[in-house]
Amino acid sequence: MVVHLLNRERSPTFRTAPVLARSLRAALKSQVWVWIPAILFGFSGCTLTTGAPKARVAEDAAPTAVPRPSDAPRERRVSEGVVAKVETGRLREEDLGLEPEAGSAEAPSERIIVPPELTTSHPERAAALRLTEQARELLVAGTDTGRAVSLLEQAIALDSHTPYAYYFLGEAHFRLGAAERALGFLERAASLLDANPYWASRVWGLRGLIWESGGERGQALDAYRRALALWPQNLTAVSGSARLEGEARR
Amino acid sequence: MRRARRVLITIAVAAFLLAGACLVREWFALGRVVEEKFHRRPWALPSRVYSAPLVVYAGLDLKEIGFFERLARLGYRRVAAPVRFRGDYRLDPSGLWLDIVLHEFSYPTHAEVGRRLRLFLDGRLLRGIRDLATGEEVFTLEIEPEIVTSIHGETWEERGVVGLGEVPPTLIAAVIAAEDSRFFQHHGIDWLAVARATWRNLAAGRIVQGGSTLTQQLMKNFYLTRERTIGRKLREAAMALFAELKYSKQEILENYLNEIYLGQNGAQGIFGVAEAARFYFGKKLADLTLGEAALIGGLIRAPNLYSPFRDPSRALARRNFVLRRMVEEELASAEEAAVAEDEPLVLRDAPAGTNDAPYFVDLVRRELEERFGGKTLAEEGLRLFTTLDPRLQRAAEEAVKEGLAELERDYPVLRRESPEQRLQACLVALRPATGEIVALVGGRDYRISQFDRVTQSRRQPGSVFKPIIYLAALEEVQGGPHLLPTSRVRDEPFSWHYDGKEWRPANYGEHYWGEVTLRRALQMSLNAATARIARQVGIQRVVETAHRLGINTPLPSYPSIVLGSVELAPLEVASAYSVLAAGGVLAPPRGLTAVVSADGTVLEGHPLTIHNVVSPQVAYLVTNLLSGVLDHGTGRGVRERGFMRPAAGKTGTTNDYNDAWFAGYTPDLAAVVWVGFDHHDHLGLTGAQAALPIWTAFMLRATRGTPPARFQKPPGVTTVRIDPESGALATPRCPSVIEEAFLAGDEPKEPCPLHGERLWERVPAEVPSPPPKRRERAKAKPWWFIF
Repeated sequence: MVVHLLNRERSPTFRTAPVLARSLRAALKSQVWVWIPAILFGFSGCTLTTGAPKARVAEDAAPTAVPRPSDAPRERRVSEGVVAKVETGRLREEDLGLEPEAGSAEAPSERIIVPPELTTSHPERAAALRLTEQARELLVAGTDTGRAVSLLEQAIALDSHTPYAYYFLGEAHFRLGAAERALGFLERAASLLDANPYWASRVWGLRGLIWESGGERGQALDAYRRALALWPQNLTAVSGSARLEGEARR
Repeated sequence: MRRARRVLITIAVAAFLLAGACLVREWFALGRVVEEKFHRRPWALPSRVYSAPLVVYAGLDLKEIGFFERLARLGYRRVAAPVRFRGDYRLDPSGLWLDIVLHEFSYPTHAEVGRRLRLFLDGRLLRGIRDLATGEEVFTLEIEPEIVTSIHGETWEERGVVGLGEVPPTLIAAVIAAEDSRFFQHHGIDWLAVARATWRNLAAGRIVQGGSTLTQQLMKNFYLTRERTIGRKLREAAMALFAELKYSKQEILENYLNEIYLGQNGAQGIFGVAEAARFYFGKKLADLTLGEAALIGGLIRAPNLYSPFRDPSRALARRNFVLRRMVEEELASAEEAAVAEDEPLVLRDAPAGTNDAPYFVDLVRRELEERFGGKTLAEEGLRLFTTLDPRLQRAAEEAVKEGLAELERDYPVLRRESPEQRLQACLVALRPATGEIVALVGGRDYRISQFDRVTQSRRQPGSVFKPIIYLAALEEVQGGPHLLPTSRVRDEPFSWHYDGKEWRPANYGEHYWGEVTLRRALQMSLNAATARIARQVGIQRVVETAHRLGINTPLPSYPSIVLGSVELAPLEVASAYSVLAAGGVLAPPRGLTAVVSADGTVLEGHPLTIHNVVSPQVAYLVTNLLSGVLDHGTGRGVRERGFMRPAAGKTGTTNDYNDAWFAGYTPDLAAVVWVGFDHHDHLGLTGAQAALPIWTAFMLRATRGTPPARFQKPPGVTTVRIDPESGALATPRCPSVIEEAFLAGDEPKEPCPLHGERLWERVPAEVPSPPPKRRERAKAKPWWFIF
């Protein structure tokens, strides 16, 4: 099932019930700040597209009809499990190096969704973001951090201004035990994501974790506080600062 | 008489016993040889050097990025029928899609299983990719790395090693039918075949047929020499008997299939059926058809004579002979053989036999030999994954070769008789954000000189060092004063006194321009002005900045270093420019990404590491200045030669005109070119004359088919329109106006004092964004607005 909020004009279907269901699911599964915009977007009739499963193509048989270029797959597929995040997920155009669209929502993004037009205007950037998203999924699954690193490096080679790739490389290397290397990537991510409070907060939160794990508690607490100042709902920072402040009180 | 007979008998018995003892000793000696060959790893497996994979995604021009050439070099076969086997691809006649079955490939971090994909095309542009098995969309596709070369020991052999279970029965049948149909009946020597061969050879009066069994052939291959004596034949026969006693038929057959010589690729021998399948058909063994298996079986007799690359019709005749033998021996049915005889010969494109990147491979080899040792590299079958981009490497090779030929044609004084003394050049290209060395040409001709001028030579960089001075000058140090692109500096002769000495920097041609801005000083590569800036900044800061940018050569603290008097390796220069291209990030140059053992264990990973060494804002300012060098300064030849993408760069010429440089970059590719003579002969040309044309030719080829990228202006940088003469805000009266970048807050606030300052004449300071397109404006309105 595919849901996409960005592609409003091309929507072949308009169904409200699935939106409600998804929004409710989102409400159950995610944080408050995640599902409220989901419902709002859902009811405002944004976009629900290409819900039907893709037709399988016979492996050996030559196609009976000549497909039009528009039959080429589009970047709308997402897996079922992340619907809530998809519905709130939206990249800020300035993060992509594009001019901001008037009135664009600033909902924070968990899943990285690539606007279809980016494939035409900045194909290398679109590819880099997709690689980043693939790597993010691997990191979420926790199955193959090495592969995630490889994908993220490819993303940076394609487009060195993919800020999320630096962030997730920091996360991946932290998991692999290379804290120093991780901090290098996070510094770069911070410089690219400076204007986005949600992501800047995540960067500080992760820095806090790294410093905390390295025993630098003062620096870690400072990082958590900075993260909270930027985005008070940052769970990493909330728990991290509570932990360190509790320890300090004891 | 009787006594004599007894003595004779005793002597005979003694002689017999002695001979027997000798034979037994020899038997066991030969047995030890056989055991040794069977027990220890019987083959020295060369390490393979792999290039980077080709990453393909929607929006790319497949032709321009060399997609089809890459497929051809990897042994993919274009077929007319629907794709069936790994390595098949088919371009639909409508041109709207291309089906491909990928090769299996084991990457260090994952494996490609050989997916069947459909690539949707719009002319030459890739529109999208879909997995035909699952129907899922594929966003990025990796075409497996090419083998750049193999690292060999004394014998230059290409060999793939497989277990008997991996060899298809049809191929085993073909080999047995062609070479030794009674393999499973005899015990190492086929006396019947020997008798038949002897009879036929006697009848013909020359050797027309051999009677060697597979086991005997295998024993023959255990020797490195090709001696043909009775003694050698007897030893081979004895070893064959011993092997048959000691080992099973399966073990012998497996060794044979991996050992046998099956052709030649340049100076490299092709050994083993797996390597032969890859070499001739670009296939894995499991994917061979009956006809292809028969062709490989038929090659054993005389691989070069029956090579399908050399004479396809002879190869087909031999294949059909083997097929008939298979039918006679009941190893294939007549129907199967008839179908196989009708199979057309579909070969991969004849593979190049040479190493495309010898200097790069040497770099990798030198690095690894320190840790693994040369023997391990040559014999343990390591897989070395590198950053080399074969397309860019070829572009670099061509640019250097053609550039030097052009220089020698235009300046005959540069020609030399001796190949060792000819004009030299080197080129290195990096991905700035990752430090990946994507192309490296260490010299004009590797066969003449293996000295790598990119990493092993040290030459004076001349003016390509100057951007480091400007970077240091533009940087704020703890909020302290710093210069601006519009800061003015005097370009006049002066003396710099240090340690009781005097140094007088002089401009090219002794021309001085008076007071100039930083931008103009860098664009025109003015030595006196640059030296003044360096004096203001301080030598220590210049040295410290250079080291931050990845220049590891120790730099002395004397003034002339600011004009590039200290010898540097071109790779260090490339590293420094990469930092600017990557927005202040140093990713140390690297050629290796992973080292994997023959059994698939990752022995070493070389992940990306970055150091944030310069603020993105200052890096952008320097890039902006260096863009001006290409657009209006000493590097404008780049534009004149047709390279119009966003780029920045700097020419470099040493005082004695012995070294010519050009260093430059786009956001995703940095390259440095050096031109000169190894023995410091007089070159007499500037960087713009000698190195710039090579750099431009390379960049034109290297960026073909890829979307142009622009330098991203980081937050904290403001761009305003200024009068380049005064450095103040431009007015309509200013004869020329440029856009200049400043750290936010540093931008000029006052209008140009030279060309009018009436309020109504001021132009907007901030560069306005282009107006939205009509469609976007319409979209911004609600749908009911039209009512």
